[in-house]
Amino acid sequence: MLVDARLLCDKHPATYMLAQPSYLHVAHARDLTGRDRLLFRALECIPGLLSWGTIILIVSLSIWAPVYAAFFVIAFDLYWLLKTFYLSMHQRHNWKRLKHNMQVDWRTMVQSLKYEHVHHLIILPFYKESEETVDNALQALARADYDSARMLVVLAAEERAGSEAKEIGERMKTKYAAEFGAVLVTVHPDGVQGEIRGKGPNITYAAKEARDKLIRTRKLPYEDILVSAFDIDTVVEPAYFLCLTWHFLTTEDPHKASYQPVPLYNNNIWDVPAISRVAAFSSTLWQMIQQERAEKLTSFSSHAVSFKALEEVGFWQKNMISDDSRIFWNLYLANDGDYRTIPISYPVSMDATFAPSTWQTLINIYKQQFRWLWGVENLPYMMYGFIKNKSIPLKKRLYHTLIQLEGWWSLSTHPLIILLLGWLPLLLGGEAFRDTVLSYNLPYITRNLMLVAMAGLVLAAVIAFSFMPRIPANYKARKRRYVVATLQWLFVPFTIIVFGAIPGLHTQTRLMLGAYVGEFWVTPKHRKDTTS
Amino acid sequence: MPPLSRKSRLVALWCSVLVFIVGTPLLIAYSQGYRLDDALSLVHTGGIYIHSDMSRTRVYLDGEYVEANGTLFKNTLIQNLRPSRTYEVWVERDEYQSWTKELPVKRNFVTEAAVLMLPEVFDWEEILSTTTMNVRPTATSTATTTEVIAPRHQELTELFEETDEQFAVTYATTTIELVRGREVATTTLYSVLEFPDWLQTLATSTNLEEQDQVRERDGIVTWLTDGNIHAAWGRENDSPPYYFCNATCTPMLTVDWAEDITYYDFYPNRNDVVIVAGSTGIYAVELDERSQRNIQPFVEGSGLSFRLTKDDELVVFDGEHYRVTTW
Repeated sequence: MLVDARLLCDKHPATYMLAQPSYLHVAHARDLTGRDRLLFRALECIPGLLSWGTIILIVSLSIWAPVYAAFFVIAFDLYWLLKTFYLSMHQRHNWKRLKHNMQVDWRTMVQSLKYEHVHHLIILPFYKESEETVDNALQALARADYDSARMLVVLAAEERAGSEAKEIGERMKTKYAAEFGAVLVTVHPDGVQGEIRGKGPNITYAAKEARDKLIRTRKLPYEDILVSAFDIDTVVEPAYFLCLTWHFLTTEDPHKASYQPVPLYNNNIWDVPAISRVAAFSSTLWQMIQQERAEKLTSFSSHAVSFKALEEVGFWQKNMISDDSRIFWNLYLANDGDYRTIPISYPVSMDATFAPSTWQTLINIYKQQFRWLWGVENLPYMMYGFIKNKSIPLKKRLYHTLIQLEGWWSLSTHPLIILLLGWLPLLLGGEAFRDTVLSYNLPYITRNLMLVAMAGLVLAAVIAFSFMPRIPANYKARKRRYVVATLQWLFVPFTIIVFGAIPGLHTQTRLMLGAYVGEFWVTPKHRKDTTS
Repeated sequence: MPPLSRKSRLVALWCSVLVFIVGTPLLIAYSQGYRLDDALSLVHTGGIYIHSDMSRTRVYLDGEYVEANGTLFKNTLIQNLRPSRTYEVWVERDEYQSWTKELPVKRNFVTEAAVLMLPEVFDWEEILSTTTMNVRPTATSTATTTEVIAPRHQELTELFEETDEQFAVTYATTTIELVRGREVATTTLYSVLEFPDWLQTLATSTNLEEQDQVRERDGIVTWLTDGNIHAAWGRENDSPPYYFCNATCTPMLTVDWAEDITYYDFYPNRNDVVIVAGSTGIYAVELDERSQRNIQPFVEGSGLSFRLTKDDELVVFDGEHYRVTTW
C-alpha cells in the first residue's frame, strides 16, 4: 500500500521519494507468492486468452454457425472502417501539429519563460553499437540549440559488451567534453542479481551514477532536471530541447508527467528495404495518433521524465524488458493515477531496422516488433496495480484497463480478421451457407468497405512521404527509390500480419504460458555503403 | 498549435458509434438480401450467379441488359430478385453461340448456373495421312520428293483405336497345357471394371459394371445406356452440385437423345457438360436440365466420331479424314 508520507532520503535537501508499494517493481507472477502470485498469473493469461478466444470463436462460428460468423465479420468490417476514419482524423491533425511545431521558433517561446534553471540529463545507453552511431547521436546533441552547460550527457556502456564499449565511451568523452556541461561514462556491471540483461538496468545504473557524480556534486535540485532516456541511435533536431523545455515549463504539475516525442526512423530510411520502411512508419504513424489521444499515451522508446519523478519510483525497472512504457505505469501507480504523458509533437530520428541481407532485415524487424510487443507484460502489471491501489479512482482504473485490453487485443487479432479470418465462413460454412445471398455478399461487402478504408492508408502514405528526407545526391537509382517508396505501402497487408498480429500473438501466448522473456534483444545498428 | 480538441474527438467518436449502431443491422440486412420495393415494403430477395469462363460477354435478364463482363471478372451476380418466380438469363458474345437458361429464384438463396458458349465457326485443321519429304540419298545426288506416312495422322489413328475404359483393370490368366509331353503356357488378358470404395454404393445401385463408357469427373459419374447418357453424383457424403437440384435434388440426370449416342466425353475442365457424337453431328450438351438444355454443335454431319487429346484438342473423324480444332 502507498503511504502518503514523503520520505527524505540521502540527506539531500531536494531529494524525497514516495514510499514505494510492494508491488511497484513486480515484473512477473514469479516475483510474488501465494494468492498474489495466482492473481498476477491469471492476469497474465488475459490478453492471450482474449486473442486466442477471438480466433477460436471465429473459426468455430464459421464451421457451426456461419451465418453468425458472417454477421460478425460484416459488423467488424464496418467497425474497422469507422475506426480507420476516426484514427486518420487524429493522424491528420497531428501531422499538421508536427509540421507546425517544427516551424515554431522555440527559442523565442522559451525565452518568454523563466527557463535558465532547467538542466537536461541525457542518457545514451549502448551495447555493441559502432562508434559512428554513438558519434552521430552526440553530434546531434552538440548541435542542439540549448545552453551546453546545462546539458549533462551520460554514455551508458555495458560491461558485457567488453572493453571496446568503454573505450568508445572514453573517446567520445574526450571528443565532446567541451560541448556539454559534463560527459560521464558509466559501465553497467554484468550479472547483477535481480536484473535482466537489458536497457532498464543500464539506464537506471547510469541515472544513479549521474545523480551521485554530477547532480549532487553540482547541488542541482532534482526538480530542475529533465532526463531524456534515448536509444543510442536517437538524433535530435537542434530545437528539440527548447521544445521539450517549453512543454516541461508550461505543463501543470510538470513532475507528474512524461514527455513523449514522435519517433521518426529517418537516419537510414533510404538504405533499408521497403518492408523495413513500412514497419518503421507504422510505428511512427501510430505514435502520431496517440499524440492526439494523450489520455491513452504512454512513454515509448526515446522519452523524457523529470529526475524528481524518476527518483521517487527508483528509476526504471531492472527486472523486465519494456522499461520505456513500464516507467509510465510505475509513475502512474505511485502517483495514485495522477500522472500522464505529455505529447510534445516534435520528432526525434532513429534508425529503421536494417541488416546486411534482406532476409536478416526481416528477421530483425520481427525480433524488434516482438520486443516492442512484449510490452504486453505491462498489462497484467497495470491491472494488478489497479487491484492493489484503491486510491486510483475506479473510473480511471476501468478506463485504462479497457483501453489497454482493446489495444493489445486489436493489435493481434484485427489484421487476421480483416485479411484472413473474414473469409472463413465461405470456406468452412458448408453447402447450405454457400448458397445463401449472405455468402455471396460477404466478400463484396468486405471488399468494398476495405476499399473505402484504403483512404486511411493513402493518407498514411502521404504523411510518411512528407517526413522522409530527400534522397542524398550521391545515391544511385534515385528515381527508382522514389517509385519503390510510393509502392511500398502495398506491403501493409503483409506487414500488419507478419510484424503486427503474429508477433502480437507470439508475445501474448508466451506471457499466457509463463514463458517470460529474460533478455533484451538489442536491435543491431548496421549502416550501408550508400552509393552502391 | 493545440491538440485535437476534446469536443471534435467526442463528436467524431459519437458519430462513429451512431453510424455503427445504425449501419450494422442495415448492412447485415442488405447482405442477406432484404430490400425495399417500390411500395416500401420489405422483400427478402434472392439472386442468380452465372459462372463463366468467357470474357467480354453481355448478360441479360428477362430481356433487360444487366452487365458486360471484362477480361478479369467473368462471373455475374444478379441480386435484388423477387423470389418465387423464374427468370430467363441470356448471355451473348459476338461470334459465339449464345446461352440461355430459365432459372428459379428462392428467397435468401442464390441460384447458380454456368454458361456454355461455343464459337459459331471453328477453325479446323485437316490431318492428312501422308506427307512429303525431300530425300537426298547422298550428298552429291539430287533430292527427290517422297511421300511418307504423317506421324500426326498415325497418332490420331492410335487415339481412335484406344478402347481403354476409365475404371478398367486388366488381368492376365495363364493356362499351362501338356503338348506332346511338353508344358506350353497360354496367357489370356481380360478387363473388368473396378470402382473405388467411395463409388461402390452408386456402382451397385446402377449396376455400373454392366454399363458402357463409364466415366467420372470431380464426383460426377456418367455412363451410356441404350444410346442415352446418364449422370449421377458419386460422393454420397457430399451434397450434389447445384444442377442436380431444382425444388428438390434428383439422383440422376439423363441426356435422352433422339438418336443413339455412339460416343461421349466430358467437356474439357467441366463436369456439367459432355461432348456427344450422334448420328447428326458432334455437340456440346449441358447435363443441367433445370430448363431446356443448351446444345451447341461443334460440327454437323453423319457418321462422325471424335476424341479429345490430352491437350484438349477436339479431333473429329469422318471415316476418312481427321480434323482437329481448339476453341
